[in-house]
Amino acid sequence: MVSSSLTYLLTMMPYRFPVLAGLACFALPQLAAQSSSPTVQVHGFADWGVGHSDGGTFEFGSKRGTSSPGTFALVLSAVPAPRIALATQIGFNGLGEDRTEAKLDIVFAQYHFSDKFNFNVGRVKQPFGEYTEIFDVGTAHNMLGLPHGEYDDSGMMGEVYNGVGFTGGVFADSRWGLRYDGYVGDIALRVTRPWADQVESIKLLHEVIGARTIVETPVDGLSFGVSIYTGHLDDVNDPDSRERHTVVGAQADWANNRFGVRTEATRRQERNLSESSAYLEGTARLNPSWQLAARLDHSQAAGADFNGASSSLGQHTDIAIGLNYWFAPGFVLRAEFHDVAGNRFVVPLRPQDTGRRTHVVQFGSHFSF
Amino acid sequence: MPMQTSNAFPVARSVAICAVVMTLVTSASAQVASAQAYKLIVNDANHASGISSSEVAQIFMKKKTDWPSGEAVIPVDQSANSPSRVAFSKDVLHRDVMAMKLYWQQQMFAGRANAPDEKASDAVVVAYIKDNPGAIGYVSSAASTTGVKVLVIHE
Repeated sequence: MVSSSLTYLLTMMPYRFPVLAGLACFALPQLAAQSSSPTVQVHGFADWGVGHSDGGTFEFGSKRGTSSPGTFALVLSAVPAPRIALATQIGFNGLGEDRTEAKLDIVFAQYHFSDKFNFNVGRVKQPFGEYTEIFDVGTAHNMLGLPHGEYDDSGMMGEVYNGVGFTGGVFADSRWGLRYDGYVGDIALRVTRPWADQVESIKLLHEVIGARTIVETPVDGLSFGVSIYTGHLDDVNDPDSRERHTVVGAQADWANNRFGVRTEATRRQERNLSESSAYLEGTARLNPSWQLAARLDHSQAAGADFNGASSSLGQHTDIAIGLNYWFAPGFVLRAEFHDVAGNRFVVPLRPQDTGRRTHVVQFGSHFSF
Repeated sequence: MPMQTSNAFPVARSVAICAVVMTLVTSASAQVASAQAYKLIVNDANHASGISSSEVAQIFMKKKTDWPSGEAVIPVDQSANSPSRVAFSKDVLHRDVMAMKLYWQQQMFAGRANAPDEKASDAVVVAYIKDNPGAIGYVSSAASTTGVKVLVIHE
């Protein structure tokens, strides 16, 4: 009876996510209140931006000028019992003037066996590269948008896995350290094709297995890492299809109080599609408030999706510079200029404009608490 | 239809070169510890008498979350503008307070760990550590540490 009611609750649309969000908001404080040492933390993050381009649409910029409807996410975490942690994140995406979509981004439980091994179960942020776990957390980024080759809706990365996994680390007195994650489950990949009027589809990836390892060096703030995940793409037209989707990546990161350098290279392989992406980001603080940022982002895709199409549809090169003003670690204003070649992530103004360079000026803000 | 060959990997090679250069450049930066403006304190029942600087850093970045006895470590910070915190962050964590705030944003929103609780003053830190056997914190060098144990930090 309870099971069937729960099934009904979880499947009734379109209220599923708001209901789950409400349950999460209600349940976490209740669980924590039952604990001998209640610990509930409430955090959130949001962004907003506006931009103008001289051609196609890219990030916040379009020919007519675009302002984003804004996004917001609420994060709740609780420690209902020793060694057990629960976390949930509910995202709210503005869809226009008066519509907002609520989405359950993550909900998972973790059991802490030791620093070397923590067990996760649920809908967990996918550990891959530098940014998947802080996908929409703008105050943890260097610029308004993430590097597009890896993190745009091209089907390269998921945001979360549904399944089980582990995370842990070993750290020596010499300041060498090794952090690692592993997971199995399913992943939903969002795929947007800019040249097809931004039609979005979801690719489901089953039997996913993935891992990430990061080596921390004795040099403060310097780390290197590698990530991989692989799974089988769901094909509604061919249930027996075993098309494999595999992504491998390498990363390096260094930051001190003033400067930061971050780079990643990623390669995706499917039966009819291959894509290689890499970016290099740098930041320099001029004083506690002002910060310069720059990025070179390159991606090239090849395969069936691009056969017969303009070569620019599979290519993307973005040279971007930005100026950030930090009011506090949780509130930053950003102004940027992007020079973009290729239409991999730029919606052309008209079909005949494919291949033109796009220049975007944009301004926005990220905040978190 | 044969797959086209991607030519993005010259960029990947550039990235690899950048990574090597980053290692060489950053290896040259030395950390200079300033004279201690704070004392590291634990509950009187804690068996430790000394602790390495890197272990303290691991504790305050929540990479090490258990004492050798198995008890959970509970690090507590002071408020962001406290001189003790500024000095502690610089000497032990090798980052300024703003950089640590950004570190905790990443950890917390990644679902990995929450930042240590911030206490308003030396007296509040001492009182908290008296009441919690697994707690560890720092106070200004002039603060009274009656009822708690001061740990020596060694390299």
